Amino acid sequence: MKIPQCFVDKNATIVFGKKSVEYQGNYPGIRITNDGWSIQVANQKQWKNPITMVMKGQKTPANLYIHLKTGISASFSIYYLVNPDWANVGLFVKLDAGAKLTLNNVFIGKYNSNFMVNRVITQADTSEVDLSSGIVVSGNTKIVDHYELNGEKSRLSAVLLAISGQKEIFSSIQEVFHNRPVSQSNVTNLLVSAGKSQMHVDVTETIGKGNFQSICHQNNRGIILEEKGSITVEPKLIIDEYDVDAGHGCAIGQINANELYYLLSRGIDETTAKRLIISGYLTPLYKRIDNPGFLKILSRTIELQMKGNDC
Amino acid sequence: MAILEIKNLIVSVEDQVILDGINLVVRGGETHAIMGPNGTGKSTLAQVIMGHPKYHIDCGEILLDGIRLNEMSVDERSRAGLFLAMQNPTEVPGVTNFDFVKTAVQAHLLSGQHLRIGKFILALEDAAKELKMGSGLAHRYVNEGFSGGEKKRNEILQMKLIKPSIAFLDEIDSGLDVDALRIVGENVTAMKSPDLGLILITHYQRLLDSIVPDFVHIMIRGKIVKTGGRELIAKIDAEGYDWLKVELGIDEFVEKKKPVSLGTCATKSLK
Repeated sequence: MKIPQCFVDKNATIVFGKKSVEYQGNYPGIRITNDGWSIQVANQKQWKNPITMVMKGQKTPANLYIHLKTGISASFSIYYLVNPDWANVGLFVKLDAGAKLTLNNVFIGKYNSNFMVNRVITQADTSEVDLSSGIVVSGNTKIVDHYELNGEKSRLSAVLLAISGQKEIFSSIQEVFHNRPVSQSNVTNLLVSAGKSQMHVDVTETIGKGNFQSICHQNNRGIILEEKGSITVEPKLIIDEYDVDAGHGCAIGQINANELYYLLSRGIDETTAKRLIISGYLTPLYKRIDNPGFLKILSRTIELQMKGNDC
Repeated sequence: MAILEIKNLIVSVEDQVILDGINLVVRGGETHAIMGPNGTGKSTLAQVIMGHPKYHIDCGEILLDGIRLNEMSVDERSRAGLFLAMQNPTEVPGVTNFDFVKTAVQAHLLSGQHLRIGKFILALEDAAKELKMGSGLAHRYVNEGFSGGEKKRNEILQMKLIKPSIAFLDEIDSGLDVDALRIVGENVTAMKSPDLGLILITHYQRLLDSIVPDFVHIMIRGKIVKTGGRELIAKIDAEGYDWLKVELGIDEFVEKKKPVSLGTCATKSLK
């Protein structure tokens, strides 16, 4: 996939190519490693937020290591322009004490074989992660997320939005470990199954003994657009401590009949009404994307995906 | 001038007749009020005319300008000129009012016509201003977080922009304070024209003081049992519906289901 024009000539864009970093702006601390790239953010002044990163390289595995040093705040939008040769990509994020990361992570494109994403986020004391992920790709996808809340008062908010079309299989395994007291996690999964796609999400949140006053919540919602599609979700909480606040919920169904009727009663035809309702469902993802050009590409891709075409 | 004709409309749900032979003609320029006790089918009538999939028409015809609506889908009925301001407007999360109303207005354009976005924005702003709805309306999600009064005003805002030929306003006065009722009343009255036929469904005289009807119909048990002029409103307001039930020989509601024994309590016998 070529780099969309909306990412070119931007000072705050870092493009990771086949074996090199193509556009970098003036950001120190980027290194090429044996299995990908490494970014270390130690100086707040040298990293002006927000920063867009575009992953288009064909390195396999294409891993990106990000390390935010103590007290650093960063806002990254990382777009993976998935190409047919990709098989595995990894994103490994480490936050030192007091670091804050807002991360938008979008995967868009098409590939030939099974595509796997591994993400690991490790957090120290009082660190905060606000993660928003969008996955709109053609082909079978597996995403494995591992979150380690290793610091007291560390906080994680993770929203995943995935749209699957045609006969694709999408699976996501998410594990959240509350390893220190007063840690917080809030996991939200929004799933749209178009065509005959099969989607499966397995979320496990664990609060171990002694990690009192931790809060963990998960919310899963799925919309199945056609009869032959399916979504299954396994929300799990493993709690070994009394003084915690935990909850999970899951709702899967077709498009809300009342919403549909309301839109139809205003003369909007059924196809357009469904598209509008789904776009409303996707708003949490759209709101996080600050690049209008990419937003157009994303919404067009989503529309194609919902119609059963390749991205 | 539009004309809506409802002919001998019979509708049932789960073997229970809920509309029992409704006949009504509404012409452009006319304002009709439908009143009646709770649960007599007033809102159901509006939903059936709009084509709600929950209801099945057993018998009868609905015609708009001579065109039969019975087989038309909900959106087709709307594009034919019907509008229903709902009693409980639905929230549509994530969809902005701007996108929703723009799509609805676009849907009503004739083929070959294109929405002029600048003109639409001005019309939306004007309508919101006339309904005193505040400047952020366009970017709020449809009915989400709206107060009861805002939801009702939002229905009228859509009506102003869609410009239907026949509009049902289903309990548009519920949830409105005195000022909001006056605003809605003024806006609806300003829309009155030979191109618009109005059907107001309400329990209260106060709405009909703002939007003065030409005809008043009273529905009881799925039937229009009396039609008259404004004098009926004051009588209902003062005396309720009992006089009418007596006049027409309508019995009070009778529970038709036989009582069922849920079993006997455990007993203890002394021997």
